[in-house]
Amino acid sequence: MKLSENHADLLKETLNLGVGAAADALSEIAGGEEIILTVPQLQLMSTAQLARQVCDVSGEEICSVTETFRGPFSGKAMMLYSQRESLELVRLMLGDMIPVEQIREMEGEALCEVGNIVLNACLASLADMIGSELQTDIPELKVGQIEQVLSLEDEEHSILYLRMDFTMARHNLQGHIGFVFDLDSVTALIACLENYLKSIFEI
Amino acid sequence: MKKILIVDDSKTARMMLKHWLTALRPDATILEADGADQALAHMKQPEGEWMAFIDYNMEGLNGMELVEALMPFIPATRMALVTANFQAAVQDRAHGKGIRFMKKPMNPKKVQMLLNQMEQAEVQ
Repeated sequence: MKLSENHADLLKETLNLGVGAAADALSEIAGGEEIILTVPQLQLMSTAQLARQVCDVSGEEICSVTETFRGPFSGKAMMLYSQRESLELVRLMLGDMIPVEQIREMEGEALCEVGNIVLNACLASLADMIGSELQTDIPELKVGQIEQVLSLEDEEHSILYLRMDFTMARHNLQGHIGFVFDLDSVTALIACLENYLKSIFEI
Repeated sequence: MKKILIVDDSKTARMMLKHWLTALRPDATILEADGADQALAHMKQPEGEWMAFIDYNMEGLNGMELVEALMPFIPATRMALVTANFQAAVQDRAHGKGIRFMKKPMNPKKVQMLLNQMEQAEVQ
């Protein structure tokens, strides 16, 4: 499968809007700090290649919150960061609400909630744009080496991966948000987006 | 007696909401539930003037299904769906039932706004 330039652009722009909503939510969690987003990258690759790519970036144990979504198209939305950064993020969110020694205890729980808010913001704006509904599962937190975190069952499985990096400058915090789509779903997603575009131009 | 019920499967979300609610309504009794089962168990002692803050995506009954189940105990205008899932479809469903909707992340301002709206609302 090959994506045309127009389709790739359409996908990037759509998910860009979604990640914009996600960044907005993240900024609110961090008390209004600006979140800097990179231009989205879109790649067709195997799950094994995805693992290598994510590994190259972090090089250490990573922490991920994943949410599976289903609707006219399905896939997985993920938020990934290193372990050190995840604790910092929790500290930012809970601030002075609980004593420092309890923060570590709450870390996993709190990260799931951050992931839930951020990924849902992204998926909700995407669903609203195409005028349909996406069902989202409960967020799942995984910590460990990349292979375990991504639970790669079939390394040759082809996927479309869209990633955007985010940075919170003041706290030197960075991570990335990624979307994994099965190829079947990509066709459905593109059809939805084309309908959306058509509806705009027909008015 | 004022009773405020927080239903969310995330302990973090409940903790934050409880923190703000306690500060804003120190006299109210604040009860927590991690899902529909615990929320409905609280209804075994239904007396009091109830308000409820309910998450949407939860194991078992989702937030809107729980709202239905709570209707005999808590007036719709005193319930709010508080969720990161702000899709128009979900918001429409909430408004269709006459309950309030607020987008996560929560903050003291949003909590205050919901409390004011719920307290001023007519109880049908």
